[in-house]
This record gives sequence, structure tokens and C-alpha cells, in this order.
Amino acid sequence: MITGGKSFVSSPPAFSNDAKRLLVCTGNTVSIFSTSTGLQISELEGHGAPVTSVIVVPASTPASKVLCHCWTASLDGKIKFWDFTAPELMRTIDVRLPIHSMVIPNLLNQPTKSNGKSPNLFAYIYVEVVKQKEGQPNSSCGQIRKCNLTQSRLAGGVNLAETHKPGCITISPSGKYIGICEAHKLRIWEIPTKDSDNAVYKKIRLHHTKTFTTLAFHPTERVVAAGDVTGRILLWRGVGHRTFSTGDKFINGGLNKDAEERPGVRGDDDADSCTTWHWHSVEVNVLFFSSDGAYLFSGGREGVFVVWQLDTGKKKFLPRIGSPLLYFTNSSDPSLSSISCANNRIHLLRMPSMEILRSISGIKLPSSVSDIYEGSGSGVFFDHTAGLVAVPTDNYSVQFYSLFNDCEISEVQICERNHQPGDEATVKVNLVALSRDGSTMGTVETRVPEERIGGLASLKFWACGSQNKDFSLSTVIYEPHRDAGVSSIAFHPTCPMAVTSSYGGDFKIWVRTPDTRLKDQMLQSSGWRCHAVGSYKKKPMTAAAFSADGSVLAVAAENVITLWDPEQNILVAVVGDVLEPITTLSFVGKSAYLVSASPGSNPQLTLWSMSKLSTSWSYKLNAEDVSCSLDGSTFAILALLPKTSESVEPAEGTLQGVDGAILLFNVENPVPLATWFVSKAQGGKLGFIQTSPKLEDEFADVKPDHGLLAYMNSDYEYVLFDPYGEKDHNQSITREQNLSNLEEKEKIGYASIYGELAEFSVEKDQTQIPYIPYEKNWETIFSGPSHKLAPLTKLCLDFLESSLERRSVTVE
Amino acid sequence: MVKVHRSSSVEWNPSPVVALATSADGSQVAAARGDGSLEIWLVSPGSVGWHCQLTIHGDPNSRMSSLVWCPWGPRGSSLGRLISSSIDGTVSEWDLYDLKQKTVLDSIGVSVWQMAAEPCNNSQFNVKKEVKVFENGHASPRINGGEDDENGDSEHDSDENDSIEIHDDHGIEYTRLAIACDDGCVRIYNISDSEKLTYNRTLPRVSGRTLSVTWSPDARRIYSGSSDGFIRCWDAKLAHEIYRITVGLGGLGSGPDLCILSLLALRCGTIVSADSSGSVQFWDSQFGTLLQAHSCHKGDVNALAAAPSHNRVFSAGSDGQVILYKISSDATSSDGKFVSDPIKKWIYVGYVRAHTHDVRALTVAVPISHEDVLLDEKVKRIRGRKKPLDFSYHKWAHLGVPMLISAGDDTKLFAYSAKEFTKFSPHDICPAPQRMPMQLALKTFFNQTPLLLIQASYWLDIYCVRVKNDAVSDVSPGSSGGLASTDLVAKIKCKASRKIICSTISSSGTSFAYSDHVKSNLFELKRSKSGKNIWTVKKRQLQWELPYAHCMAFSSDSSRLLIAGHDRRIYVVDVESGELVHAFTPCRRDQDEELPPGEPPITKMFTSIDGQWLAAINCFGDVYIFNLETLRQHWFISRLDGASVTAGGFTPRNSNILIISTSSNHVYAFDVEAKQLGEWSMRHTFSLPRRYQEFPGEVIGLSFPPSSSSSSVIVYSPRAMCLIDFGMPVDREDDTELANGEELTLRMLQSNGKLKRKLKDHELEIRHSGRKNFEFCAFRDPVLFVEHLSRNSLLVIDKPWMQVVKTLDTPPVHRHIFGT
Repeated sequence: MITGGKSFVSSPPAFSNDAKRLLVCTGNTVSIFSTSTGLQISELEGHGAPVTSVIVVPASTPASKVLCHCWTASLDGKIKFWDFTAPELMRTIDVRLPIHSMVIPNLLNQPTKSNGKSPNLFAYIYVEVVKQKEGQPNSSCGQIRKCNLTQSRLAGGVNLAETHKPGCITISPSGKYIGICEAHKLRIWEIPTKDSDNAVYKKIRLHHTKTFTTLAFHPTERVVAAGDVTGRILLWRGVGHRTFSTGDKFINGGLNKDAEERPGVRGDDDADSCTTWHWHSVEVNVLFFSSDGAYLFSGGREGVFVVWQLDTGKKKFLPRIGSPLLYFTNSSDPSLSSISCANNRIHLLRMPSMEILRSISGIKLPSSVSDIYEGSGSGVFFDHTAGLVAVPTDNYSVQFYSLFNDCEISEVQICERNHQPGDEATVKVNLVALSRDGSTMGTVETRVPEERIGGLASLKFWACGSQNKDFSLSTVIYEPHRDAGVSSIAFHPTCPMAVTSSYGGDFKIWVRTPDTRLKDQMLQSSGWRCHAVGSYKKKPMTAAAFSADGSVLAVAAENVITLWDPEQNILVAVVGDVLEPITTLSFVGKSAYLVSASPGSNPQLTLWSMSKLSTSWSYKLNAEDVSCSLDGSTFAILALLPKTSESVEPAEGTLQGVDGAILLFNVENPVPLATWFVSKAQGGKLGFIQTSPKLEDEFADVKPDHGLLAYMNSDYEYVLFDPYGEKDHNQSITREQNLSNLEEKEKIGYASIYGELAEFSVEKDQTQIPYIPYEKNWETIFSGPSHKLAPLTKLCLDFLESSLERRSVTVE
Repeated sequence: MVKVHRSSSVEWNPSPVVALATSADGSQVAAARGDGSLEIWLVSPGSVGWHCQLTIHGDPNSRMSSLVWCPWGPRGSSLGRLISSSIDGTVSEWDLYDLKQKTVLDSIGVSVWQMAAEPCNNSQFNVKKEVKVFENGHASPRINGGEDDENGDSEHDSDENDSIEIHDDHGIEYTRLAIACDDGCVRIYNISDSEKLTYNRTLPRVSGRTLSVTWSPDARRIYSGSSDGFIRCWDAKLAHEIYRITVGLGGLGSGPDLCILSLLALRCGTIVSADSSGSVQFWDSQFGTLLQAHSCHKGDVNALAAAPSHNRVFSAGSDGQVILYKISSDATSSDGKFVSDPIKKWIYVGYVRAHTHDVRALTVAVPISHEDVLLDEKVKRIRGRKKPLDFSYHKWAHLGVPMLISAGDDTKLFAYSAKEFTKFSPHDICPAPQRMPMQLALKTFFNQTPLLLIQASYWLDIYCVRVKNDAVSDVSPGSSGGLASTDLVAKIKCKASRKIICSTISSSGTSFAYSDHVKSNLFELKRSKSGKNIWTVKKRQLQWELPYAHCMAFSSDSSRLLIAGHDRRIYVVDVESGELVHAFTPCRRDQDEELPPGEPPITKMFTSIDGQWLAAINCFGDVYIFNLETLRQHWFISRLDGASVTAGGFTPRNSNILIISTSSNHVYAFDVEAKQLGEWSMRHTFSLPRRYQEFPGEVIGLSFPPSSSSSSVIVYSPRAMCLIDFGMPVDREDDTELANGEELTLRMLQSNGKLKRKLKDHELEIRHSGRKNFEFCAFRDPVLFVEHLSRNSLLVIDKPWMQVVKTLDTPPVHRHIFGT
């Protein structure tokens, strides 16, 4: 079983102490990536719910730098301590409350070990607490609790704050302060240097008229920055002069006297001054001070990373990131930091120059605005042979993602248009289909009409250049079905032929014309043109499919299925009549059966026998997706569980959150062969994937013609499993061994500055061309520009060698 | 209900403010305008007290570049000497008694860009002061508060024992004036007792133009900034260069030159420079090293100002912004322990954009006027009340609290709180800048048509006002008021370069007069019998050459012209014969009348309907009452609470009653004959409704209904008018119940008039609730003039400010609005 497609950006990542690894919260696991290659190295598995925080224990001494320990907190209420090189779980603390955020201030300000015994380690966790209130259903609220990590228990009775919703705790780089944003105010606590179970906290609040989104602490000064939903950045200086000063209050007594001398500060907030910067147009998500405190980094929904010089307010920008920014993390290496973007990408930045070194990208998450245009599926398409999935993305492209490797293969820009993350999408890629051999791609995109003007659908055919799935545009057809929307696109299994069906009541068969030379010597490159148009009683055509050998084309005309000869464009037969329009149509492998699914109020899943032209059997099931094995006679459906059954379901404690089931059928038998319960099935997709030759070794027991079944849920998290294996067959497939070897050789000295030297071999030349060495051949050794010159140790050897060999005059 | 007729057809071209200066005691601010005129504004702690005390018309052809108000002037006058420099190289002094511009330094041949006077507390306080500064700046842990007080005190000291003592002790030492010249020199002159400046020395000539100059607080050094991006520090005594700062980054020849437009030397040893690249930079004056640089302005930074405590700096520039910088002591060692030498940083705090055009000048003033005592009382009284009004301006505008005043190309002046700069919106000091004087002659003997005299800077217009009766509605004077058409009857142009100072028209409309800087002129207006609508203007040859005047008025029967001459006498001229009847000499006591005139200039004159009384008011608010029948001074009323008189007049009902409105928004009714405060005034003046005392804008006039039965008066400012009926009780009850509403409306008025439409609705509500005394009515557009046409109809002359802005020479600051 392979799982993947997790969100990399659900929580902030963390760098290891040597900045060579990046720990990313991916669902229930923590994935460790190499920062030099951007590939995954290992995984920390053990949590039962999404991991929300990962904290790497910082190295206080150079010796402890090799230690790779981290704390993780998860929504399952557990805090775990790991050695992430091994990877090995070392401790587990169960707090029994969903943890949304965790900070450990003691790790940052290491108190001096006074009596040899290390003091207790405390974590501050933002947990979700369900409150019982009379007259009200259980309502949850957020609380900041304190957890004694050394003694593995919650510090009793400590509840720093109670809020409506748990959020994120921000900690100052020195570990002295922690703070949260709560609606229109910031709440900041000072953590005592000697923390104990019953420590007393000094706290302040800072107010504003807008809702805060994020805050950041200055590493050395008492400066707090906060961003709000309107894009303003507020910068308080001298925060907490009154409250946090522990010394003699009377020295600073003058401050209280001239209370009105605090420009910009609201009310009685404890700050000296407040400056407002306004550059971002919409909410600020990222705020971070550079480690020397001279710069402030900010980012927001418009996807531009801004660096502010604190003293002067000058700005530098890193534009065109292309997606809203979510988190910024810095590493111990001052030149390396990461930003997490909403499109499931983590960019590694080289810091002073702000250039993106490399990106770690997952499947681009479905856009939240995809529901604007109705009548289209999610558009995800499985490439059966290559083990890829094609996902239309927000920025008008199609992303090809390898299911086996859990990594991005390529991205094809469908529409020549710049994507601005803040803007509303005006174009949406609705449908993607690949021919069986993967050489051709068909896409349908729709331009969303503005003020009901300018809506346009266009069909594009793409030709695959090479294995890397870099497609080049072959043909563009504007308005393939006039102003009607395209409901489906399907490719002929063998010859270059495709069919599109439309809600406008017709379908078109497209064929590719080979290269021809017209009479006026103009080269007409291969393009797709319309071969035939068909319609049936002006009914909207809702789905289309070719049979396995391509001899029959089935097109669903709302409630009936019409069968056509695609070559001659002759209506062969009309079968069936279901209650709701058919949305999915698929021939089952090479068998003479056709399966159709029609959701709606009277959902129906029907298996049609082509030989008898009648219903074989049918279920009243709301099938979200249907996938048929390519050769065999089995098919799988993704059925949504009816809402009513939910009341029954929770009795089985393990099935919480389950709303769908995958059923595997054989055409002969209406009893499913196997059933799996899944969650987030609404909008999910199913696909049979052919196992790649490499994998076949490991799936020795699986017949290759069955392939694997891939299920992708609405959040684009997928699982790849063998449908014929035993049910609890939790076979862990080790991934293709492309996991990078982290212990790559450290470059030192010359190599670290100038890179590896080209192999410098005198002997090699000598063996190839017989020649008499020039008497002063050392001159040639030293010739060339100085920056290309090899280090002296290397040159010296050659030099001496050549001068010693001078007497053996001839070679060969 | 009063019917309102509006007219917006007047031409109104106010002139931009080019320079500002604060008097030594901080109670007055001088504003120099682009047309060569100068205004003296009385700084007030509240919104009500702002009053344009004096307007002096100078040479319109010379463009002023900077203003300096030296702390002491000749003859020990408390006003000090106001000196201006001009682009043509002359330096002039503004005589605040004779109301004229005097050249004190003939053109030196090159333009003068900036002047700086030696700090006032130099020699005599030098030793003492320096020690203090040292303590405060370096050794004292107290951040600001203590320093404030001490310095404030010492400034007070120096103000009080002002000129006399100093002149006795250090008679030889004069204030030095450093002048930044176009040829790269800084010239130093002494401001001596004599009329002219005396030359002291010239600092060595350097490359480029010297654009800015300032003195160090101890007057030992002079800092000059030039057009090629250098700040130079000079020894004031030895006149040699101590060091030089290169401001222009990189110093590449490719870009345009960097101009240092303004410099400021702070007591803590920091120099602040403002340059044409939009950056404000802070330098260490000892070593000339850069401390902080802020480039928040998007254009030239024209002006800098520091709060009196020198811990805040304001900058203003051509992007219309005023930006606040604050010194922040960085408490890095945040253990709260005593930090011996905290690192101080100047940080950008925030900006306010009140101006629509470039800001040209900034100044800081402290309202310590003569109103102190009474104002304190007032505040106390309000505190005693149950529910003190929460009025935003009063929150920050207190006595002795420094304020920042900015002015620029949009001709307006704004006041800000220097301490709570970002918290409160600025106060628009003059909603109607350079308002043209107007006078309405009712019931002229040309068909009883009212004639309107409008005095522009170089001409007089006489309009005939016709009221369209059908279009009249009786709603408040908003947009829906009836229109009044004005037909031009005559236009009298004066000689170029001779600005009209004052003008008047007789109530019958037959004669009018004006005065420029040379002499007074009298004209006769006639309607020739031959043709229709043909008006002729004839200049009357007077037998006696009249002196030029500060103020003019006709007696009510149009038989006599009263001229308040520049020689501080009031001349009574018979209009028919043109003969001089009498010359009054205003004086404080009766027996002084024989002495030479020594009273401040008369700026306002009112005559009673029965022709018996003449009230002459000088610029400080003293009132002199003359009896025109006996030709003797009748009474002298000393300035009322020390406030200036903003408007006044004799009631038509009883000619003995003189109504006076002061800049502190008090209304007084005097019984002139009995030489006492009128009965109404005795009872009510000190208990006027609070909402009247917070009247939005400066009261600029009074208008009486032209009938002998009415006992009411309309008081108006550019923003609102108010009806006071002396016959009705002053009900203070409704005051409290309306308090909230009023507070709301007034705040809305403060907020730059954006919400005035709401306000109007509110006003309408008040109106509908019944006729009340102190009834308010707000205007949508700035109003220039309000006068009764008849008992029940009112002429309002206004002009939408947007139209005025279009006529300004410079375009407004282009602001890119996000998303467009």
C-alpha cells in the first residue's frame, strides 16, 4: 500500500540543526526531506491524527549538533519525542486533548545547569477543549495549557488563555515570550527563565481595530510585529516596558507620567510607539524577523515575499511565487530558509539574494474556488500505464504527479495566462484526458463569463514530446460545441481518435490528420479535426466511452445509452432508461459489459450487457466514480454512503469520518468482491494503475494484469493498493530507491567554494595520442586563467611527475 | 424661517503658503503667502481661538523664501522682529505696528534661500544651559519628561525677561542672522536696533547653492546644506569648516544633484537633514556620522520641525504627508536595570496626510496666549459639570501643549497635536483662506437694489444682487437653498503692484472708497439717467490728500468717510465736500489724547445706525468708542479676556448696543452710552451654551436683520452659522440634553467635513424641533459672506472648495489609489 499526496503545508515545517534536513508535517506522519536534493529521506510514523507541530531540539553545544531529536504534537493528543535520524520513537506523552500548536520555550533559552540536574522541560500547547454548557450543545474552545515534558503530565491547573478557537502559538526567538492572535488583540506572556509548574506569568495585550492574522517577535529587542486581515503590518516598539521590567520600577517612573507620549499606541497598551506599514493588499500570513533583527519578512495572499529593512522601512520583493504564502521557517544556516505556499509547495530560499534554490512540491491542492463553475468534475485523470495522475491546478496548468514516487513529474501550462493568487480565477481547466499510450492529451478549459459575457470553452489537444510528459500544443478548437459546455472527453484506445460530448445535445468525434503538404507547399502539421457529429433526440450528452477494442462508442444521452460505430458514425443501438442522467460510463475491460452511474435523488449503478443489450444488474448506489480494470472483468466503484447511515456508523468507533466505500465487482457477480471504507469520498477519484515493471518484483504475488487500484480523495490524498490482496494486507512497499543519500560528501575547502574540479588527468591524454612531451610541459600546467587553476597540491604532483619523466623521452 | 439665497459665482483665488514662523513666545504664527502677503495667526489651545489677527500686504512681486521671527525687536516690543527673505535677495522686516513691509537689507545680488537666527538663549544662558543639556542628553536616565519641563522652564525665563534686561547687559551683542545664499555663501548679519541689518561676516564660498542653514543650539556652529548634497559644519566664530557630510549616496555624477532642503540641529546633538530624494536622515553632530535614514517621503522633503522637547521630529514634503519620527531608547538589556547609555534610535512612527498639495512649511507653536487664566477657569467649570463633552480637539489641544502647524500649496493651515500626533486628526485652522472682504449695501437708492462690494487683491467688484423669488426655499443653506444672481455693475482696477488693503461702500451705494499702500481713494457711483443700466464711476478729487488706511468705513447716513490711517489716527472726511472734518487719536485714557498716537493699528471699525457712535477695534481686541457728534473719544474698552475681536456691530434696534464676538467665542453686548456691559451680556456672556463656544471655525462676521424690531443676530464662520436672539432666554437645559448630538456633529465637522451630509440631517432635526436660541446651521461649502437681505432673507456667498482647488497654480499631489 502506498499512500501519498499529503499536504506539506498544513503546519509549519522545521529544519534540522545542520540545516540539511527539513521536517515537514504530512498528515499523520512527519516526512524528512533533504534540503540539498529536495527529495524525501525518511518518515516518522506513529501519530494517529494529523501532526500539527514539529520542534527540533536545538543544539546548544557544538557537540550536541549531531543529535537529531525532535518533538511532535498531533491532533490525536499525543506528544512524541523522536530521534529522526534512525528514525526511532523515543517517548510518547498522551495529553488526551487535540493539540493544535505547541511551543517549548525552554529549548530556546537553555537555563544554565546549576546543580547538574536538568530542570523540568515545559511545553505550551494550544488544545481544543470540549466544554459542556447547560442549554447548549457541546462547544469546543481553545485553551493554552502547559505540559511538563520531563514528567509526562499536564501542569495542573495552568490555563493561560481560553479562546473561541484554537490557533497558533508564536514564540519569540529567545524563548522569552509567547503570544497568540485573538481577533482584535494580541496576547503576550513572558515565560519565566526558571519555569516551574506554578510559575507566575506576566502578560500584556495589544489592541487594534482589525482582526490580527499573525505576529512575530524581534530576536533581541522588545519589538512585536503583527499583521491583520487588511494587509497592514503593525510594529510596536518598547513592548512591555512597564509590565516586563523586573527591576526597580521607579527608575522608569517617568514613563508612566507622560502617558500620552506614545504615538500610535492604542488605549493603555504597554508599548512605546506603534508604526503601521501598509503594503500588502490583503491579509498578511507570514511575519518573521531575521535572526539579526535588521529585517522583517512578510508575505500574504498575493504571493509576494517582502523584506522590510526595519530601520528605514525600505522594501525588497520576491514576486511571482504564484500562491499565497503560509509559513516562513529559518534554519541554523543563515543562508537557507523555507517558505510554504498554499499550493502545497515548500520553496527553499537562499536568503540574502532571495532566490528559490529548489522546491518540494506535493499535489497542488484543489482550489477553494473550483465550485464556481458547475457541471464539471474534479478533472483528475489517472494515467494507467505510467502510474501518473494528471491534476488541473489553479494556475491554469495540469500537474503530472507520480503516484509511485509521490513526487511531481511535470507541469503543463494549459492557458497562456498569468495566475495571480489574490484574483478570482477567470479560466478553469475542466477536463483532462490522456490517450491510452500517453502520447496525446486532451484538455477542456472554460473561461468564466464576466457579467455573463465572454464565456468560452476551448478544447485543446496536446502531443507528448518525450517521456517527461512535456506536452506541446497541437490543436486548439474554440467552442467545440458552440456555446454548450463539454461534459466529457474520451480517447480511442488504439487509433488517434477522440470523442467529446456536450450538454448542448451532440457529440463530436475528432481524428488526427497526419502531416500533409498542401498544393501551395505549405506544411500543414498534424492537427485534430472534426470527423463526425452525432446527436440523439437533441438530448444532452453527458458521458462518452470507447469500448476496449475501439469498435463501439457509447454515449450517454441523459437517461439512455446510445451505441455508435465511431468510424461510420452510425447509431448502432440504444439501450436502457435510467431515472437520472448518467454521468459516468465505462466499458469493463475487454468483457462485453458496460457500467453506468447516475447520481442524483434516485442514484443508480447499472451494469449493461452488450451482448444482450439489456441490464445485467443494478444497484441503487450513489457512485462518485467508476474505474474498470483494463483487461480483466472487474471494476471498482466509489460509492458515497447515504447520510442516514451516519447515525449507525459511529457505533463502530474506528469508522469515524468515513463517508464512502470502494466496492470491487466482477461483472458476473453482483456481490462485491471486496469493500473498503474511505473518508472524504465526495469528489474522490478511482483508477486502476498498471504496475510498473520495477514494482512487479515486489508484487510477486499479484498478477500483472490486475494492476493496482488508486483512490484519491477530495483533498488529493491518495492511496495505492492491491485490490486482490488480503484485506489487512498492509504490505509496505518500499519506494523506488531514489531516496537521496544524505551522507553525501561534505564539500570542504576549495571544492566548497569553486565546486568539484573537472577530472584532471595527464595520463589519459597520453594513452590516447602518442606524442612527445614538450620539454617545459609544466608551463602548460600552469597556463589558463587563475580561477580555473587546480589547487597547488594537485598541480605540484603533476609538475613534479612531469619533470621527473622528462628523460624517458618517448612513449610508444 | 429665514429664506436663504446662495451665490457661488465669486472668484476666489487664495494664494499658497510659502513659509511659517512662530513668535518667540509661541503664541503667534506668521504665514507668508505666495502673493507677498503675510498673516499673523493667534495660536489657540482650542478650535475656537484660532484667529487671523493681522494681514499685511507686502510686495507682490518678490517671492518670499523664508521667515524668521527673532525673539526681541526694537523698542522692547514683545512681538519681536519678523524678518523675511526673498528670492530676489532682499531681506525685509514686517512692521506689525505700521502693518507694512520694510526692506532691511537691499538685494545682495543673489537669491536668499533660507535664513536662520541665532538661538535666543545663547550668550547669557550659555554656561548654565550647556550643563543642563549635557545632563539630560547623556547622563540622565529620565527619558523625556524631565527634560521637557526643564527646558520649558528655561524658555519661559528667557521669554519673560525678554528684551529689556538683555539689552542692558549685552548691549553690544546682537542676534546674528545666517543667510543661505545662492552663490554658495552663508552670510551672517547682526540684527541691531537700527532699521537695517549690519554685516558681520561671510563664511567661505563653497560649490553649489546653499539651500539651508541652521545654528547649533549653543550657537557655536552653523550647519549649511547645499544643492550638491553636502552638509557642512562651520565654526560660527572662526568661520572655518569643521567637517563635511556627504549626503548624496555614492556621489555618482549620473543622477541629478541631491538638494539638502532643510536642516535641524537638536539639543541632543543630532542633526536632521531633509533632501530632495525624499529621505530624512539623522546625523551625529560631533562626528558627522549617519545615525538613521528614513526615506518615507515620495518627493522632496521641504520642511522639518522638532517638538519643543526635541524628542520628536516632523518632516513634510511635496507628497502632502507630514511624518513623525520619534527617538526610541532601545532597552536591549531588558532586565529593567539602570541602563547607563541606552542606544537611541530615531524611528518612523506614522504619517498624516491632511494637505492635498505640497507641504511647504512646518512650525511648532505652544499656545500660551493671554487667555491662560480664563481658559483655565473655563476648563475647571466644565470639569465640574456632570458630563463633560468628549470633544476630540480638546483632548489634545491644551494650554502649553505644543502643536505642529503645517501649510503648503493648498493654501490651508493645519494644526496637529505634537504629542499625540497619530491619535487625532488635524484641525483645519483656516477653512476659508484669504477670504475676500465683502460688504453689502442694502436699500441703495438705485431701486432699492442691494449692492455687493467685493474686494479682490487688485480690483474692486460691485455687483447688483437680484433675488429669484420663485427659486427660494426655506431649507437650511445646503444645496437646496435658493439662488441669488449677481450682476457685475462696476469693476475698478487699481494700479499694478498696489494691493488693495481695505475698501468700503456706503449704505446708500453712492460712494465707495479703497486704500492701497500709497493713499486712500474715494469714488462716486452713479447711474446715468440717459441710458438704462449704465453705471458710471467717478473718482472724487479730495481736497486733502488722505493717508493710506488700514480700515475704512462710512457713517450710516453715507455722509462721512472714516479712515483709520497708517499713522494711527482716525480721520473723519466729509464725503460731499471732501474736507477733513476731524482726526481722532485713539488712546487708552482721556487725557492722553494730546499725546502722539501710540496705539496698535485699528483693523475694524463699526458705525451705529443713528450715526452717533464709531467703534474702532485694534488688532489686539481693544475697542475705542468715539462719539461722532461731539467728535470725542467716548470710551476705551480694554481687550476682553485678552482675546481678539473677530466681528462686531451695532444693533439696528438700539444704536447704543454694540455686539462683539471675540476669538475665544464669547459674545458681548455693550451699552455704549452707559459705558458698561449690556444687561444681556452681564447675565449670559459667561454662561453661553457650550455648543456655541465650540463653534466650528473662527467667527468671521455678524449680520443683523435690517429691522428695528428684531433682537437677533446671525454669527457665522466659514463652516456654520448660528442665530442668537437676545430677546430669548439662553437655555442651558437643552444644552445638556443635546450634548451628545452636538458632540457628534462637531466631531464630524472636525473630521475634514466628510460627514457633513449627516450633519446636515442632524441640523435639520434640530431645526424641526422648534426655534431655539443658538440655533446652528452648518454649511457644506466654505462660506465667505453672510448678510441679511431683508428681515427674513439671507444672502450667503460660498464657493465649493473643489472649484477653488482647481484654480490653484499647482496641481494636487497625485496619489495612486490602490486597485485603479
